[in-house]
Amino acid sequence: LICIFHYAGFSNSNNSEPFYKADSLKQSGDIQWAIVEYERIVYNTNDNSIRTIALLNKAECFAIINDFPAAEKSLKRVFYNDLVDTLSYNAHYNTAFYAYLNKNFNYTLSELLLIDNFLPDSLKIKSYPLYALALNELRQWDNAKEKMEVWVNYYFNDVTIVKDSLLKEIQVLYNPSKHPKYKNPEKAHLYSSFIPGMGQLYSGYWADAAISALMQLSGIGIALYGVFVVKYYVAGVVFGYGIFQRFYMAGTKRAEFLANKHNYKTARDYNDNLINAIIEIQLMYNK
Amino acid sequence: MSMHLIGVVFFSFLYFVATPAFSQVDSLNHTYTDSAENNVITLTTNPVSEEIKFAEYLIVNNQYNDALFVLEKLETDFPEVPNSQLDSINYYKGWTHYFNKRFGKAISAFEKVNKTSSLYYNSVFYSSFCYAYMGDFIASKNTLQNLNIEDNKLLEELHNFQLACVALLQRDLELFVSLSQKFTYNNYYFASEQMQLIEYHKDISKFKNKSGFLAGLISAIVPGMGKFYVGYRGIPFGALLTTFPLAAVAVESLIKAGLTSPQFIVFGTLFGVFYAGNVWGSVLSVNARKKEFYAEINHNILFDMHIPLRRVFEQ
Repeated sequence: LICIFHYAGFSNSNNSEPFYKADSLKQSGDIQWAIVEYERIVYNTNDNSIRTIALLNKAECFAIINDFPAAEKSLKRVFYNDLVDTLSYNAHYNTAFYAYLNKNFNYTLSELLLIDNFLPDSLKIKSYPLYALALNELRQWDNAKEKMEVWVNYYFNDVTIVKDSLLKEIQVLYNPSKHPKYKNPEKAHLYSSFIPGMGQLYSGYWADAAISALMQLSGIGIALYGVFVVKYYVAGVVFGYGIFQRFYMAGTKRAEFLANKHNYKTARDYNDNLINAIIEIQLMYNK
Repeated sequence: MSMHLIGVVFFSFLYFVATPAFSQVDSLNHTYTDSAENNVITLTTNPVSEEIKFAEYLIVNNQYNDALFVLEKLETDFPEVPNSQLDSINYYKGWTHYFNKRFGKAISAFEKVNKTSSLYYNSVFYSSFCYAYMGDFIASKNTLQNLNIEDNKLLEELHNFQLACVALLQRDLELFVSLSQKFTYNNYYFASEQMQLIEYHKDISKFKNKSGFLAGLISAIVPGMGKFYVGYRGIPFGALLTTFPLAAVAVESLIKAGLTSPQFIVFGTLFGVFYAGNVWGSVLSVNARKKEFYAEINHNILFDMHIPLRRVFEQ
């Protein structure tokens, strides 16, 4: 993901004088020192473009050492006034990308929205695969599909065969019939409140449903056995009710949890499939 | 062409004639001394002080690890910096450790700051706070007591305030009362914290040590109520709801099956374990409650001790 989407921005390299030391440190792998030297450029310069390039490089250093929160934080310091379009794009795009890696999907979208609204088509459409990935995570699959279609139409307008095959692939990937079907956690909770194990069954977990029902029924059974068979009324009620009550309460909560687990898992599987497909398209056509 | 030649000749003259005049070049400070007049002409900025300024900028921007990197590199690159700059390096090193909550390292850096330094007072106050945060109240008090402040009312009052905080942390209430008599309550830097300290003093004075024996006895009579007596409110009823049903089961098996029956032995033992555990828990809860109370008070005192330091020294 890093290899492909990070470079959908532009290279942050800069051959001008203030960057020699920091760039060479980064290239030689002395990342901690490079981070300090890029910050020194930020500290010394009055030129906003140089400052932005330094921050982009600093963020890249953090990304090299897998500190994506620090990378995102560095890029949030960029001032966007009077930046040229490509630099502005690079800063927004990389901020969005690191936010995506940090699972801040709403922030990713807000950065990409700025690209979408304020930068020319040639730049904004370049960011659409990342846009689609973020929209997927927020379960806005129709919007994601739209972005991918615009991207394909823009880059492959002249190559009809490729365009048609990609559009077809996107159509298949985002087919509404394939969208994950969600379970309502509140419903799961409610079902388990009335019938032991029913909420778990609704969420698609048979074994959990059986165990929950069995434990609650055994609680009731102990109470009935104590009261009606061995005539130990207090012991029957205390132990029977104790077991039933514990598993009843736990069962309703478990049903809710399992509905959420089901939703997460199905969305994750679906989105992982989409991520792989989008990466494959990017790799194949290098746009 | 002729203008170009004149320019070349002029700058050559400057290079060969004027350069020897700036004979002493201090490689560290990048200052050039005119040997005839002995006037110091600074041509470029001092790299050490520039680096210190840069480290300060990094600290202000919460980039503590980077600041520490710069300061440690400064020490290795310039092993013979003047004392004044070494003091600044040590002070800022102490600061970065302090912000990263590495208090032991912060103390050792702060303690390297020279008495003659303008940062000496700052270092002493911060190292005293670090000792207090680490729970070494004696060292914290000693650090403050060894400090002589002259002709600085703000620092004198801060000194008194910090000593009062440490006295309260040590539960030396008499000393606290005598120190708190000097509180003015009108200095922006710590007026509200001074009032807070008085409240903490009241809370500590009011706090009564409960008897462990009594807590156990009450729980023996009514299960869980010993914890209520100690000051816990929700927990006692939970204990009551567990112990009573077990008692009822034990009584039922006693009535139905007799004293030596396996039912009674099992249920009676079960009840006994819960009952005894509850009584013992009530005894222990006295100490637990006391620890919780003092931990909260200490946390609040340390917080109020720390805020004025930031206000005074980081303004």
